[in-house]
Amino acid sequence: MVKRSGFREKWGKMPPGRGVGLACSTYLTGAGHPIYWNDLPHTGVQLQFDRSGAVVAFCGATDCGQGSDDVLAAMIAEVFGLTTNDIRLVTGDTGITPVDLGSYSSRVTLMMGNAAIQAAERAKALIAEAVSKKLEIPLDRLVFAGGRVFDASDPAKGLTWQDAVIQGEAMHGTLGSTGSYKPPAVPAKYKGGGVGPSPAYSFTAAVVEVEVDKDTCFLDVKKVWIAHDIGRVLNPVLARGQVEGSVYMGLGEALMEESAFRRLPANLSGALVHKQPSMLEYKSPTTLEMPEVDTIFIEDPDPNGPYGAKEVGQGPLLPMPPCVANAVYDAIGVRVDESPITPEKIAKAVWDKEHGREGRFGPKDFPVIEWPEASKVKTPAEGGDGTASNEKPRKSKLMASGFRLAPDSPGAKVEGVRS
Amino acid sequence: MMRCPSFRYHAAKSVKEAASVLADEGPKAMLLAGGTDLVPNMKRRQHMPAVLVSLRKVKGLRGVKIAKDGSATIGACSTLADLALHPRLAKGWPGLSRAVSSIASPLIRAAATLGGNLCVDTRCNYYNQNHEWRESISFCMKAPGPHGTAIQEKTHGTCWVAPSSPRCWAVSSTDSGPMLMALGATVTLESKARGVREIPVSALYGDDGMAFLKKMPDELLTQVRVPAHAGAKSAYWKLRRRGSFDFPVMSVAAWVKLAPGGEVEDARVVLGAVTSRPLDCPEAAILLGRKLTDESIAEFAEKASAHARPLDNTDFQAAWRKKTARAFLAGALKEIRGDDKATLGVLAQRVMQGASCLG
Amino acid sequence: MSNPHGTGADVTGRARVKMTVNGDPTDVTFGGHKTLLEVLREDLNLTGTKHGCELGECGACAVLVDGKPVLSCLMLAVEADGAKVTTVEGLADEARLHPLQEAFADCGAAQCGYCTPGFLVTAKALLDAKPKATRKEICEGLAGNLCRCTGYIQIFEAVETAAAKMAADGVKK
Repeated sequence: MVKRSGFREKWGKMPPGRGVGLACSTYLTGAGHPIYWNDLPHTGVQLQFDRSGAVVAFCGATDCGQGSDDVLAAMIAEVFGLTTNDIRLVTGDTGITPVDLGSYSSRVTLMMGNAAIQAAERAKALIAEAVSKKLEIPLDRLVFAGGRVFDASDPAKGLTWQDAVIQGEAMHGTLGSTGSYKPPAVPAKYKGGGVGPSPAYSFTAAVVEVEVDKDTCFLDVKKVWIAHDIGRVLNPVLARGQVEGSVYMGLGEALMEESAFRRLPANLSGALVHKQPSMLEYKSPTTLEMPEVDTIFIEDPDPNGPYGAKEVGQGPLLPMPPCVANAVYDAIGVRVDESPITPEKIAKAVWDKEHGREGRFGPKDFPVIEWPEASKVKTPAEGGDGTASNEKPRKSKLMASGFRLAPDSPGAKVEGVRS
Repeated sequence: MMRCPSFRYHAAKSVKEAASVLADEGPKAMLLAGGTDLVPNMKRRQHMPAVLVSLRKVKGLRGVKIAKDGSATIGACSTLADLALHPRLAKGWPGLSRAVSSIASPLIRAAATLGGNLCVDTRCNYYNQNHEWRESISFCMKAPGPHGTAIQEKTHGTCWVAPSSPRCWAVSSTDSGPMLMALGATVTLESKARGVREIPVSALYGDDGMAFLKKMPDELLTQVRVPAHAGAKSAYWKLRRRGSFDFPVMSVAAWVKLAPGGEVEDARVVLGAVTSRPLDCPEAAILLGRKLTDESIAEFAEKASAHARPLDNTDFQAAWRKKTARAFLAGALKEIRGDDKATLGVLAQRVMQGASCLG
Repeated sequence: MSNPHGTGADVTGRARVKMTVNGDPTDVTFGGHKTLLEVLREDLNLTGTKHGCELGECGACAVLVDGKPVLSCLMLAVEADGAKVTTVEGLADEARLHPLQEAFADCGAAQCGYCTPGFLVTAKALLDAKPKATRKEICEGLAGNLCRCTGYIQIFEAVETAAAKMAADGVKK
């Protein structure tokens, strides 16, 4: 990232009014626990096979544009050696599909993907058994690829996908399978330890180049470079769209989007009213505000991800506001510590700096919070087992009434993941 | 979902017919041209005309004619997109070309008209909200009149921007108005009662957020006449947060005639969107006889920016808009002087963006 | 229904217009207060055009009226009498998608899809006016359409891809 953007050559060395900023971030790929803790899987996929060779996948996951339908089809197609066009999908209708907890928390690709692979591998085992018996090929030599099921040592010997499904149905009766996913149990057993853990974390680094107008402090973002550790890219076009969309949203937050309220005069009503209740006033960047974006994917497959994939939908948004703030500092030597970073705020900080005060706008300090005593937890290397040594034993009303927390047994064993 | 209130619709075939309907129906009738300002106002119940008189089928209200004396006559129903793409306007009156191509967005410019932009309702972020929002804090004084029409009458509501003020401070939001004022243009108004009259654009506006137009409700604005440029230069700088959609929250329209030696022979500079009408800056007189040097420009910008006393009822903080007025006043004159775009700063490069290929 | 002025809403509040919608002569009677968007969606069942901000602030409802891209939420339907209206449904040639539609799908230019019909018809008008539009011209021409998902870049690429394909195929307007 630093190399690609020329950060070292630019930082502190650009002409006045121009500057670069760098920021890094990390984000979760779904939460380890659902909002209401229970033992149930977070997602389920059901497959139905037809003697025509048709594969129908049912899943509650909702594609709201991020491409989860494509991921679902791709996971199943990969296991069977088919293409995504061969898989029919029924998604989002919880009246006829297994539950998926929803499109939030950047969780769908990892969770639904793992469930889809589990369902497909279970069905593949049934079909493989039938084909192996019919063609007298040992199970470990069977390959599912290119729309066929064949002998690895004699590729001509095999069946078309449709015939393989027919053999499966002849041996086992009507074919179907299910898969589901629940994240691995969280090792933390101390109070609060269940909040935030995720099966996988993404990492993002970004560099932004800006120009600040010397007279007015008007801010213009020239270019964005962004690298995202996605584990594995499942669909390059859609993955890039998620990154660029995140950059866009992050820039909106960094530059202009604000939900401001103002108080009416006390002698009139003192009411608090929304200042920007329309799309004209709540400003989102237009095509003219969108800078060029150079997107780079770092592919380091994650052991918990389907084929190593992890999130891309939200993480790339996170570095944008600090990146812009850092770039403004490099360009004009003042800091704005709150978003949106507007020309008014930059101008105020510049004015303060010119008048001998600190060139800084925003909250001056962190609010005072009465923190409780910190939990003391030994690391695994120190022989810790995830419990805190200074925590009083707890028994909530809920647990006394017979409600069970998720067991600590390792959950979500995914069968047959090839990575 | 917001829907328009019901209305009777009259598609006039001629100016005379339209004027006759306006005269007959009285102030409960309104003119409909592009509709891009009126229709949102109807949806938000800022206007509830009983009768709409459409100008869409009126012939002769569109197009640009350049006369032999070099003056341009522009039909009031010419769309902003057509004007933005008009090569002779761009060449002779680049400030006007830029002003119209900076209005709203390409999709709005394809429908909106020059006459409509000249008469565009004043804006205020306590006023341009839906009916329920305004009702919840109780309506401000700029409420629909008894017939919900063109004449906004002061109700017993207060002014939320300046609660002790007897007047409305909604902001003049026309881009073409300040530029046409600076160019010394006139408009033709036509009515059944008064016939045809031609007034300077500067006489079209009143300094009140409600009574912001001097055009009478029964009058049609039929055409705009722009004097020959005769070598004079013009520029328009518009402040807004985004490069599209946004109304001006401060603008500078400048027109300067230079002698062969570079001395200013004549100049007019108008500030837009800082109060309820486009504001002429008489300080332009201090430029007369002088060259456009950094010093003369700075002196002018410093003095003229005193007129910009924006209130907190648009986007951007008022104090920053005022500070920016100085930079814009100087910037527009530097552009006229012929300064390289690159030296004018990043905001200038945004400001100097031309028309899109859709106009 | 008597209407002394030929078209538009009469005292009963109903109105009737004759227009050409996606090539088909269309005669429609509707509540006279409706916008073109409301008539297209509610009276003609052409729900491809989307209802966004309703106030001209987003571009989701763009349609072509006599070849010009305009916001159907701001055009009263009575004003469309005699007009040629093209909605997103009118872009495809029977089962064959318009090159822009194909390119939008291939390039990831549609995510949630809500802004897509508006972008497609605006892009069509843009390429009709400027078949070899540069990136800058595409960016400026689409400045009246907001997209919350894509960050616009894949939309620009899709328009460029379609333009190249249309040039290669000699597709007429």
